[in-house]
Amino acid sequence: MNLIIFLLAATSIAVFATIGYIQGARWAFISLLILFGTLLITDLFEDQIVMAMNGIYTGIMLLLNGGLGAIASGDFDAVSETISTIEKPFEGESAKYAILLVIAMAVGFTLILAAVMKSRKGVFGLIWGFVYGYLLAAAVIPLITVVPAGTLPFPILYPADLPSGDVQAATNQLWTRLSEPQTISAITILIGLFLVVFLLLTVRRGVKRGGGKKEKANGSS
Amino acid sequence: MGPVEVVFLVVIVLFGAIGIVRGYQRELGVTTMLLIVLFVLEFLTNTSFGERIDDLLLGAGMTPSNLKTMWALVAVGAILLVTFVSYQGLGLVYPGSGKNNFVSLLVGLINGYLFAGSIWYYLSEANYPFANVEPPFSAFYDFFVQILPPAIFPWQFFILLAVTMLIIRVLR
Repeated sequence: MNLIIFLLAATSIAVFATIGYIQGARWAFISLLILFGTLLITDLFEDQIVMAMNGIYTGIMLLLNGGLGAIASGDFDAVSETISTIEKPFEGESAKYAILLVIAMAVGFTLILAAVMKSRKGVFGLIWGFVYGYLLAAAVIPLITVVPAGTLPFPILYPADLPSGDVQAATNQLWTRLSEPQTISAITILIGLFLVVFLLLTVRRGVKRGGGKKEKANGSS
Repeated sequence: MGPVEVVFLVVIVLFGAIGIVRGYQRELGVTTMLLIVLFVLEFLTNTSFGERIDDLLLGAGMTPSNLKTMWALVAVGAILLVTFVSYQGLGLVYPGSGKNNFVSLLVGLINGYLFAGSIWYYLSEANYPFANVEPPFSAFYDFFVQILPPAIFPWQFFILLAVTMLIIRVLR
């Protein structure tokens, strides 16, 4: 196995095992179920997911290009003409980025869940977090490199046959592939969404807890 | 991976560790201050107001490369000053009871990303003045330099997020 793949997998496992230990078994187990469910769904319904993501994008672009007005006025020729001009973002080689986006959303959701859910620290949190990290690495590494699925075996989702090709050269392209404009746009949206949702949820949660404590103190005095 | 990105990544990790020690309530105050200073810097450099300042300075005989260096120094100085005051002085503290190490770590890492990422961005824009940092850079560098806060967010994002955080803090 290439060193970069090993490092990526080890980092993912270490990070989520630590988070699992800190957040406790309840969060880690629920997050693992969410991730596993997402991976299973993306594996079983890959074509439908890509189609749905393309559909969502086309719908949004149609609305932005004045499609709503055309629909309201019953001018369906104009609508179909507008749709035909919209280029699908997830097609051919870039179809896998739709799957990557869905997985990233699932991971983001579990991280946001961590901000609102906490249970007792424990070794089970560590174990579930460890599995979460491995599963994430096994699913994501083949999507961001040209390394075939199964490099990190996870038999339920992928056959555990190791690739024989030029894994080394393929993984060296990881950062170059991530630097592609459409990937940067997707990463930008994810970072922005994460910052907004996480920071505002944390502030709101703190205000609620702080406020509740103050009210209790006032009531008892 | 070359030394430049390692330096900035280490700073981000250090901020994460500081976050755990100080707690998310204090760290959110630093986040707000960093968002505000980034709003000011982005507003000064990326709007017509900034263009007018540029024209004025270029008209006064400043070269374009000196102008870039000047903006980088101003930006880095402002970020350092605000961060120092936020950590050492009377900082904005958000309400919240108890300790949550994970949330504190994440908020600390966000502060690290905003702090080190912005300094990294402004220095790279000016081709690292007074430092011996030259291309070719690694593929990781080329990727990360594209997702630094001032590179991906407009000034409206920073001020809207900071104001919303302050409003939520006030509203109970």
